[in-house]
Amino acid sequence: MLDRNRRKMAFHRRKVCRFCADSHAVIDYKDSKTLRLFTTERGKIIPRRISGNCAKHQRVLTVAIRRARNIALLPYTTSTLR
Amino acid sequence: MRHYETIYIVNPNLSQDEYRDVLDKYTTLIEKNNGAIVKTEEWGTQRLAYDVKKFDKGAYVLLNYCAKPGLSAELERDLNLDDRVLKFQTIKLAHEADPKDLLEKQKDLTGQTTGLQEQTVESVEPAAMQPSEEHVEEERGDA
Ligand SMILES: [Zn+2]
Repeated sequence: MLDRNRRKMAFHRRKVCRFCADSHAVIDYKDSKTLRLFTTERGKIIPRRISGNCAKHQRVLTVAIRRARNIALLPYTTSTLR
Repeated sequence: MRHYETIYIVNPNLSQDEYRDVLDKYTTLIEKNNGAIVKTEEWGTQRLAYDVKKFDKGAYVLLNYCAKPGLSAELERDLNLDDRVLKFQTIKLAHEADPKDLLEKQKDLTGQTTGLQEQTVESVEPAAMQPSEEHVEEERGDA
């Protein structure tokens, strides 16, 4: 049980949607630093059940990540870390 | 007029003059066709998240502009044919926008818009990243 807790903690599971909590935080596809927080180290989008985002913001975030990927600000996938 | 944003990536090995030529070309293209440039940002040479046309770096240029409906397509066609440009992406920000309003707003913003990569992130991140005590309890509860 403890192991399980620890494993979940590693994903920084948040209870509330970060973008609902902070109205100043905008989701911008050019802001790759923020977007990176919502992708795994392999570049995959972290599902909202783990990130804690609400459905609305997850949707906006997903579009932003896809745009960032398209213009090479974010990787589609990485097996080797940069 | 439509409000667009186009990012294009320029070959990082061009000379300063060649690079300027690329910028001028697309700026003039918009202006000649009665478009209005709201903002140009040069991000300089950045590492690409993946190789594009065998390049692992590229010089990013952001164009924020207002134009008639067909102009972004024309711009993209030229970018596509231009071998100095590695990649580009256009996004429509608004279907109907008044360039005068946008330019006014942009003027108000100048002075704080420069380091976009830095600012926006730092201010929000640290607090939100801390896992709270409260949520540990919750995990135990449903285990
Ligand atoms: Zn939300």
